[in-house]
Amino acid sequence: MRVSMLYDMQACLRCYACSVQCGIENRARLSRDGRGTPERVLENQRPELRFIFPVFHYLGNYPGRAVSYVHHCMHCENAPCARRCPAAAIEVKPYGPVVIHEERCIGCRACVEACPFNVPRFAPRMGKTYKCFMCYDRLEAGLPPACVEACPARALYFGTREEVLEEGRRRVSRYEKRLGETFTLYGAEKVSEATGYLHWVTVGPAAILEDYTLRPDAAQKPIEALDAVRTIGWVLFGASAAGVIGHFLYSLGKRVEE
Amino acid sequence: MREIQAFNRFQRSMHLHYIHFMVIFFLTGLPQVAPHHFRWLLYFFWVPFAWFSPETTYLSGGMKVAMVLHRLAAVGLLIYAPLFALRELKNMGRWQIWPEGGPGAGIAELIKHYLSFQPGRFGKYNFGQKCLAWLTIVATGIMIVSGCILMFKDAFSPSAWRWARFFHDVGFFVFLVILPIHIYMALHPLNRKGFRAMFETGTLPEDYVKTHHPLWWEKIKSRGGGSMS
Repeated sequence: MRVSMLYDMQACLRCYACSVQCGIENRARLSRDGRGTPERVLENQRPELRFIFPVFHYLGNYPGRAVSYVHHCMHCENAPCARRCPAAAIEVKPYGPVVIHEERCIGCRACVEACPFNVPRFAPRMGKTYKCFMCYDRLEAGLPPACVEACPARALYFGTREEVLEEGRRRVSRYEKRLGETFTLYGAEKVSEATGYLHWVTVGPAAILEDYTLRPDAAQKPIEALDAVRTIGWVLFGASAAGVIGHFLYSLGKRVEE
Repeated sequence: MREIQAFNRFQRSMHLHYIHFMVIFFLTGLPQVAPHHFRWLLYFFWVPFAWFSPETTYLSGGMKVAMVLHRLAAVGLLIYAPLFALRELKNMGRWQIWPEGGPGAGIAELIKHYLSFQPGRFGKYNFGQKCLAWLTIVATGIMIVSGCILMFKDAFSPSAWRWARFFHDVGFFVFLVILPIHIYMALHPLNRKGFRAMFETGTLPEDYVKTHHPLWWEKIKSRGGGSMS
């Protein structure tokens, strides 16, 4: 059974309780895993352990339009980060979440290169890369992700994929009826070949989704082109090896003939 | 019999070290470019490393060691390649890898040499060797520039890393395709004299040059010397 998250841009209060809770939860995990006392781990800031956080930027000419969006992992179906990780440190759980295992990460930043949403963050002090893993340990214990639990406006919603999509579509139709504007459930369908559909879907006004980095064809083109380069490369290598073997056999035959 | 210098000591040394670098680049690069097929190579890097860092796995520890070795080899190449390039650029006018006749004629001579086993009308290098030389020069340049970006990631934007990764892969596959041909041709009995010149003496017998490299021999005669790079 697949699970998903929903983020509702319209309902979000921008209180960022999700971000605060995420940071606390992840530092508390360190204590749980015997990597420090509760006081000690919470005292340590570790900004890389806040996997969901606000990003502010301005659009257009000065002073521009202020936009703040919530930056987080989209948990792509095809997870380009997992496909490119040379150390197999990123695992796509069968029920959806894309999990980066800190102890296996070698800090090569191949995932940073591959991510179409620029999500993974490299922490130079730790020499490792971090990103949201949808609190998979909590999910496996029957709890919702920490950020969902913290949201006072139910702008974050968690459930099975079917439940989440149904809730998302319900919200889209309600907003469209009330506000007379087209809304989208970003990630419900395949976003691009690179990502597939997303396990973190977003409800938002269709006209401004791109201002919030939710691009319709999200992919890192040079990285996705690597697959084609590698296929062509291996075929040409095969042709070159076949040529070499062919000429070797030809040379042997010619020598016998002589 | 008179011998004609084909390669000087520096060229032979560069070629030999280029082989050493290539072996390290390939052994440490293959698990990165095709991890699913070449992860087993990481065991060899990881086993000695695990003695110092037993908490690692062959994937994390082995890959880390492979990357460090890859970069050390890159530093070696970065020291060697500019010295070689500067020296060769000084003698650019005497390079023997410029075109001599069209590609059609070049291919016809190659067929004569490699399929009929008769001496072709070559310069110092045949058409295939010239193509290989230019591909090596271009691919080495691509690998050095893209490799520097990937090695010093903090100095560049993620967008630059992505293009560098793309071109590093392209350069790798250029080498993967041309090197088996180059190695095979070098080891083929037809080219035994050339192999000896590159790895042992640096010279070719004058008679061999006259019969197998007539275009080069004409140049040597017109210059009145016995050594051309």
